[in-house]
Amino acid sequence: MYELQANANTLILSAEPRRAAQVAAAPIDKRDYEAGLVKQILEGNRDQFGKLYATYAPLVHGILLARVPRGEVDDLVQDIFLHALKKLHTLRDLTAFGPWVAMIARNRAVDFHRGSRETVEVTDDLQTTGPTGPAACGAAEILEIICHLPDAYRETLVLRLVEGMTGPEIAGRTGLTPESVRVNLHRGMKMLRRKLGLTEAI
Amino acid sequence: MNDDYLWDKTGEPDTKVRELENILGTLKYQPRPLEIPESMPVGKRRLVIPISLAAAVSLVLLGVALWLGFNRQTKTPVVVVPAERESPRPANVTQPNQIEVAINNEPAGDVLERRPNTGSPRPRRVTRAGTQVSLLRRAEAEKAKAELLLALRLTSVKLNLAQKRTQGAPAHQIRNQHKVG
Repeated sequence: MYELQANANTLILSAEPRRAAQVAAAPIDKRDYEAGLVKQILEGNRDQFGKLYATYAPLVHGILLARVPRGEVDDLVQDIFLHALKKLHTLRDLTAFGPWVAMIARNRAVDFHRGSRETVEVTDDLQTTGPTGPAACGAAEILEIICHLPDAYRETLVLRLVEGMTGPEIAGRTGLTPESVRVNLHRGMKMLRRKLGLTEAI
Repeated sequence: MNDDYLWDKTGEPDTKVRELENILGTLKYQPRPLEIPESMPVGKRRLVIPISLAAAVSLVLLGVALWLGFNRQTKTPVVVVPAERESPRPANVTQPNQIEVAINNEPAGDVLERRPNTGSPRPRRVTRAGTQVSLLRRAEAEKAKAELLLALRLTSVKLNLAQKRTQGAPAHQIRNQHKVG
């Protein structure tokens, strides 16, 4: 429930709830701007929803790309934003649209796998007999390898490497703490390098 | 591995990370217009009653309804006899069930005044509109109760006396008292 931050010189234990600390990862003026957009939409100005869509569509796209087949992602992005527009009145914290829509995307991905009967067995062959470097395989193969990493790593890696977001942007839009994003990026990249047959020295 | 570049794209670019960015960048989100149907209602804030609150209100209403229904069922009509009638046992009272219920559930308007200690335990009737037949039955029941209590007391005394005799102790000796001298 409490955030513990430490570096070489200081140790900070903040009594703020974790959620408040997560939301605080985004700049205040940006959060206020988005809260204003949400308020206008709730008052009937639905055209403002296009701005939120333009801002958060890459986030939702990345979250889905790490979880569902690539051919399904575009349609699911549209569905998720239409669903978000319909349920916008249930958003309690108007400044937390990003974390909210990210959670909708994750839940929708879970529902997708629950509803689909076709499953693909994942074996270790993909890892052991896989490519020996990024240049030796295409984007689809690398994405496949990323999708077999743990949840926390694959989502962060896709947002960073595919969607081109920086770590602070990922933290601000998903509601995760910058520290968590940094750890996920570092450890996920380390695992990806190992699976691609790269070593630290390269 | 250059963590700064991986974190916020600052510092010297990591070649392998750059290579991965270039390959995976082909899968990047391609903007598509969002088509919002005109018929879709835009979310409006509405009063949402929590389910727990609704359940609590329903339970309270159900309880009140059951209580009212139970009270109606227990109220049995009582035969009321006019106050001018002198006969203690009216001839028209022929339903023992109603009488018994009336004894157990004394009406609110019926007030009994008992005599102090001596005399008959039969209550004196103080009524508002009329005399109820159930009072007579109640007086008889209380008389029987007094007789039963008296018999029980007599039996108890006799039992105590018999117990003292069987134990051999004199009847006039006070128990639990040490002899002096």
